[in-house]
Amino acid sequence: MEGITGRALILACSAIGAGTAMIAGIGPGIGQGFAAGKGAEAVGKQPEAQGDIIKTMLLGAAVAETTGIYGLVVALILLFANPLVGLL
Amino acid sequence: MAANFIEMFINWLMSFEPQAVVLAGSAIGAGISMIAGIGPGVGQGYAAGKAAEAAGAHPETSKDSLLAMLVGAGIAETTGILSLVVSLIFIFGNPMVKLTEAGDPAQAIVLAGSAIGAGLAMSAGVGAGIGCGYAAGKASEGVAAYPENQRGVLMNMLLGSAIAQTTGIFSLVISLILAFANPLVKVSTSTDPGMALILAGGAIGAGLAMIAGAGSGVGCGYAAGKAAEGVAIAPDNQRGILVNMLVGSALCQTTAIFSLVIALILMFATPLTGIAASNGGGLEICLILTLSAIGAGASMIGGTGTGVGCGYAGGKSAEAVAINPSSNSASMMTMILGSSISQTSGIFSLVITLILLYANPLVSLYAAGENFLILAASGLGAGLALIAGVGPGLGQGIAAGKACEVIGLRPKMQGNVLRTMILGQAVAQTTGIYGLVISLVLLFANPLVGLL
Repeated sequence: MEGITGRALILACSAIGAGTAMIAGIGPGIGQGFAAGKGAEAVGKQPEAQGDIIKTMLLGAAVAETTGIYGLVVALILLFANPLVGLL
Repeated sequence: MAANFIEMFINWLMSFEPQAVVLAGSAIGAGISMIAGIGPGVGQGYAAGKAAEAAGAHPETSKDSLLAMLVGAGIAETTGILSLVVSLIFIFGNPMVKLTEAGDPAQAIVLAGSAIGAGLAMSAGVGAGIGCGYAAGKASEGVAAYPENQRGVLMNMLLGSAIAQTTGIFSLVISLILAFANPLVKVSTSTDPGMALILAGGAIGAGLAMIAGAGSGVGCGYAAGKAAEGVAIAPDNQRGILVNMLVGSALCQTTAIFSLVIALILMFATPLTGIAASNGGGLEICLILTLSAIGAGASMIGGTGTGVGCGYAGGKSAEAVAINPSSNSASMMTMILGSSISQTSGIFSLVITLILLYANPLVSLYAAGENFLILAASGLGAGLALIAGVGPGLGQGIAAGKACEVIGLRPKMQGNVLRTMILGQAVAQTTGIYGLVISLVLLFANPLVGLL
């Protein structure tokens, strides 16, 4: 059994970190679903305002997406542009 | 650093008397099991609040609402008591120490992992506790306002709460099998510590997978509460309300059943030990497979949101039928469509879990000479990434429920409402897809091994 180098340890922990970062996706999923529900409700009550309702819903959903994208960016950095191994 | 921590860890574990390792694992398992107590606490508190509110609003029926609250709170207590019993078994009547009397240190590692897995499985009782408490609160509120419908309200609450308890019972079964009829110790007859590590990881993975049942517990309880409320307001629509609640509850059980199947596979089929044996064994491949087993279990937690979400949709659909019985078919169709979309996350989790267990690409990467530690951590990370699915599953369920609500009020708007619901649900799916992509990258196009 070969020894574990510091570089291997950093890369292994980066794999766990990349996976863990994605847990952030829980929030946008719940929030956007809630927005979708309220949007559907509003369209049912005021179908003539459908355009405005959907526009607002999508704008709000885009704002809610941000933290999910932050998580994705961190995961992608850890996987594809890992700065940590360079610090060793 | 030449010393290998896995080897050190195993040697350290095996330096104790085998009984000590099992008892230490049992202590951790007994503690984790009690996490289930969160559920009854939250749920009964909600029920108490609703009953207090009802007693204030309708003092003349306070006896009826108190009775409904106490009956419901009694059911909500179940998973807390089951967890207590499992903990006490591990503390006072530990069945595992007898198995280690032969003194096999590798078997002790399997049993310690099994005790932790049994505790993790019991922690899923959080869901049924919260769900049944919600149902109790809604029933108490309904009985206070419409005491003449007490029978129907209590019947719906009891039926729905019984369904919500199934996941608690699934968890109990898994725990008792691990404690009293552990199938893993038979597999680990050899004193190979690597194999023992895989089996212990499988037991922990089985326990993690069962946590998804918490979602179904909350979801079924929500549906039961809404059905009880609906029957209080509109006892003539009981049939339609009940059917909607049952369909919603069935949909929200799917992820709990997926998890049960994965837990049983990890305990009885143990596919990873065979992979280790056919690759010549050794601690390195065993570590990859151990963390793959834990990752496979963790991935199933992604189904938790689906359980809650489908229950929410079922409850809202039952409510819509109570208010407007003529919307029954439109609202049920919306509920089923919306809930099916909410199943996506549960299915993503199942796919990654099955890949980790039956088509693990990390094994061939190891055979090709890649670093074992990076591969092992990638297996764990690939599973953890799927926990993101909790959000889309829950959110899409909320969207489905809200769509049912408005279609119940205005069935003619069905087309527009469904279009908006599906568009919003598609947006809510994105973060789940991000998690899936990261998981697939870690498994099939791992850039980290190339950086070494």
